[in-house]
Amino acid sequence: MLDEINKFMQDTEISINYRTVNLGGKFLYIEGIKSVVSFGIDEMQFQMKKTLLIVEGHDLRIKYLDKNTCVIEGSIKNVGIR
Amino acid sequence: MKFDLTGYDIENLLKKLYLKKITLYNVVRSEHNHVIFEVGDKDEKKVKRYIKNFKVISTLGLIKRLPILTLANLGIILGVFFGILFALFASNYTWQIEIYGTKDLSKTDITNVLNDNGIRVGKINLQSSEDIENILLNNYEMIAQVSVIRQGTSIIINISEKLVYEEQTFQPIVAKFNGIVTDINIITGTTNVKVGDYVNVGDILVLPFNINSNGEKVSVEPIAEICGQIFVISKCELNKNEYVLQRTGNSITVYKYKIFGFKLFDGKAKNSFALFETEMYNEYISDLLPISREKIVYYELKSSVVEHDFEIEKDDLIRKSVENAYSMLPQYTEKLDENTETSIVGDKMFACTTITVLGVING
Repeated sequence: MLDEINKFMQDTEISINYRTVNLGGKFLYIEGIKSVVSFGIDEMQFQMKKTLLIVEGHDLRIKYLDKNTCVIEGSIKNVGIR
Repeated sequence: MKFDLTGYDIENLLKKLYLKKITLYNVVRSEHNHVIFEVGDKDEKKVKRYIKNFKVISTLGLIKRLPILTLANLGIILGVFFGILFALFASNYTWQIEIYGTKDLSKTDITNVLNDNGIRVGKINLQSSEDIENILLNNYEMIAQVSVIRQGTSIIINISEKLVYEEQTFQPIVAKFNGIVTDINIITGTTNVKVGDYVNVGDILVLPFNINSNGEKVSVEPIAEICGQIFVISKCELNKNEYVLQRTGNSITVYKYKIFGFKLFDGKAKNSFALFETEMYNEYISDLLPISREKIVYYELKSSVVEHDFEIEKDDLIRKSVENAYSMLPQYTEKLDENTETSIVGDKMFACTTITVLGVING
């Protein structure tokens, strides 16, 4: 399915700036981070290329963070953009 | 490396670390001014540059984390430890002894000597290479040089044996004929006679050594030609009365039977002649049976006296003596003299031939 979506994006020349994968509300994989705006155990904000990604939940922690990707561990309740 | 920090503007710190491509692990912000995170050991110094404005509660470096790492990897560490221990233990065993360079020495004997000294295959051998070399040198005088190398669990022994110098012994040149030495040609060896000497058969003509410049004898194979006047003397005699044995014509045939070469039984006939000669034959009775028969024929003899006439047989005796003398001559260059004399002493006539030639006395 993801391959089909990627193909569709390429065909329609729509560029994607970020990607998030929510693994059962326990882990959240984020791709396309430009910088960390704020982070705490209940909320984290990441600056993407054009938008602001907001992750809400409890006992959040950054499991892994490098230049482009981030893995958040915790009880993830909501992922939104602004 | 784990960092536990308190301070403000934690987001800015993370942003800086993030922009410096420092990978962060397990980032937890329990309070607004408190953050805990981990970085790789290679990024430790980079992080320390940016946390100067923060109060460092604790840092857990590699050394402090060592017990934790040790406990976490206890199985692997124990495996490696026991592996090294086993390798060290097993390396003390000898599983192969290789011996090279032997010629006269037996490899089995050398192995036995090593075994007697506690160096054997399948056993722990704590003796050094030098010890093994000394054992071999002390046990074998034949060994000129020995080197022992340990390669893993093998002992490799290289042996150089001493060169054994065996002094050759040569026989002297002796006279094969009676004569007077007239010429001496020596290639190797030392002369024992001089021109004009009379030599008998068996006399030493040339000794098997040379004298070197230091006056020492050096053993050599003598090569020489000793020429001279060779005297060959032949004597023949004839008795006036000669006893001869003749067959009377009577004979007895005796059979002895054998099986597989063992005596089976004898025939009934027995020899009863006082003076006899025998002829023996061996024959198989059948082509199929292994039974053979020994046939012995006894011929009766009688003795009689034949009287010779010296005048008639004198020429024969002289001819016989001369022929005999010529048969004893070596190859000669020149015949100097030939003389045959006859004499009668009692009831015997003698013919004595003397031939003198120029030839090689040592044959």
